[in-house]
Amino acid sequence: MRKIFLIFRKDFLVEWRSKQIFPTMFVFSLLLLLIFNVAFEFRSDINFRAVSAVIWITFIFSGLLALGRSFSLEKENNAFAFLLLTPVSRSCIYLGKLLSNVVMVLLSELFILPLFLLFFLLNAKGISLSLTGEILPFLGVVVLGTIGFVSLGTFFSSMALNTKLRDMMLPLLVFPLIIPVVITSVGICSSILEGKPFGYYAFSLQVLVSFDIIFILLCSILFEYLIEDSGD
Amino acid sequence: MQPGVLAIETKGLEKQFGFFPVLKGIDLAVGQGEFLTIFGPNGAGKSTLLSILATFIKPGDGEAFVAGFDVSREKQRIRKLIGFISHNTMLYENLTAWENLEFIGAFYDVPNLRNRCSDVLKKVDLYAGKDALVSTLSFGTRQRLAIARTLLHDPGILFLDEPYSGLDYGGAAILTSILGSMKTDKTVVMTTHNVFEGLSLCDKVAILDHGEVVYVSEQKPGRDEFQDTYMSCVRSGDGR
Repeated sequence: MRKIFLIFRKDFLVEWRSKQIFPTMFVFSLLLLLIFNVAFEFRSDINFRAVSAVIWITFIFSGLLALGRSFSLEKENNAFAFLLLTPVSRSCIYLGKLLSNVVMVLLSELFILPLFLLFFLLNAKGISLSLTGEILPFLGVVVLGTIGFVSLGTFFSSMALNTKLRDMMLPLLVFPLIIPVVITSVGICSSILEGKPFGYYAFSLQVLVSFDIIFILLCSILFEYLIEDSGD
Repeated sequence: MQPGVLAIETKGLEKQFGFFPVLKGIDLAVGQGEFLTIFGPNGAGKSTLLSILATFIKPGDGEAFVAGFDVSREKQRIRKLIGFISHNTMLYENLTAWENLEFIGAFYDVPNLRNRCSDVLKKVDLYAGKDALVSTLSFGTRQRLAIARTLLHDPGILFLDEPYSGLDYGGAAILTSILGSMKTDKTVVMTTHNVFEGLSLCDKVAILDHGEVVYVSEQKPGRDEFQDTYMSCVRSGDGR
């Protein structure tokens, strides 16, 4: 556990000093939300399903920027190769990178959400935002959905590391596989915004948690083979 | 390392990338405490051989053992025992010298890590610059830091892949002095194509060319004599 935290701390320190990922993610998200807002003609009667899709598309597109950078920072100077030379387990490296990616993406989402609120929800018709009824459950789904797509993104970002077209490969590898997480997250978020009771989306929430657990377990096991074979 | 066990042993070691054979049946044996320098031109397979021994990449056919452990099956045991220095320093540019050492040292479970970091930094004469970001250091200084990092867990076996590459005369002299001080208690395998630096510390030499060992000497040869041998082996491809 300590070694996972060390990788997380190192990644955070490197990002804090380079300031490459956060500003890019924030500006990119702001632009995306603006484009969506203009595309919806600033209407206040838009469908909650569409609004939920907008926020998840923004999260995923900006999140992929962070995931793409995550391993390419390691590639600089080949520092990742030395990490692989240490007797730390490969699943520990994966979980460390996952933790740092999840925290970075969640932090950026923390800045994106107020913009989302401002652009899409503040004047929306038929919505009442209470802390326990909508805001906290919504944030909970954001955390679970983020863990789901970042777990796969972290895995494929390491896979794309050694490919020449890694910036193009990452979305191609990740998008098809995160569809279940996106559909489930958008569905739950939409139900929450519509004010549906917990029982209405409880099963979807279980499905989302199951996706997270399966993805993390599977990726941490397969990461070992992915990294060990990278020299071939 | 158990007494009597060869520090490094390869038997018919082969490796190919795609359809391109890089190593073609390498047989080598290095005893504990020996310093082997492997010479060879660019593309001879030196770095691939060290990468296999250091468990970076998987071997193809044949066998390779480090401290008696199989490089295919006992990687974690080998990783605890070895150190690796390359012409690529493999340091995190946005971390300080101290943070680089602390980060890597923690994965080796080095006891009294802070004291050990201080010791190795003093050994390479870098303690005063411990808080400098790696991105601000010169190449020679980075290489010294890379050596300090490799010494953190006091490995018994060192793999040096072209460590002199890119170093100026002063940097090379410091590296030679550090390697000389470690020579007494460590097994070292160094690859280089520089005859002068390669012969200065070694106990035995081998020449690798086109993925094959074309010359082995169990004793350190004289420089002039070896230079002739090296040129003739590489040019003519003896043993192929």
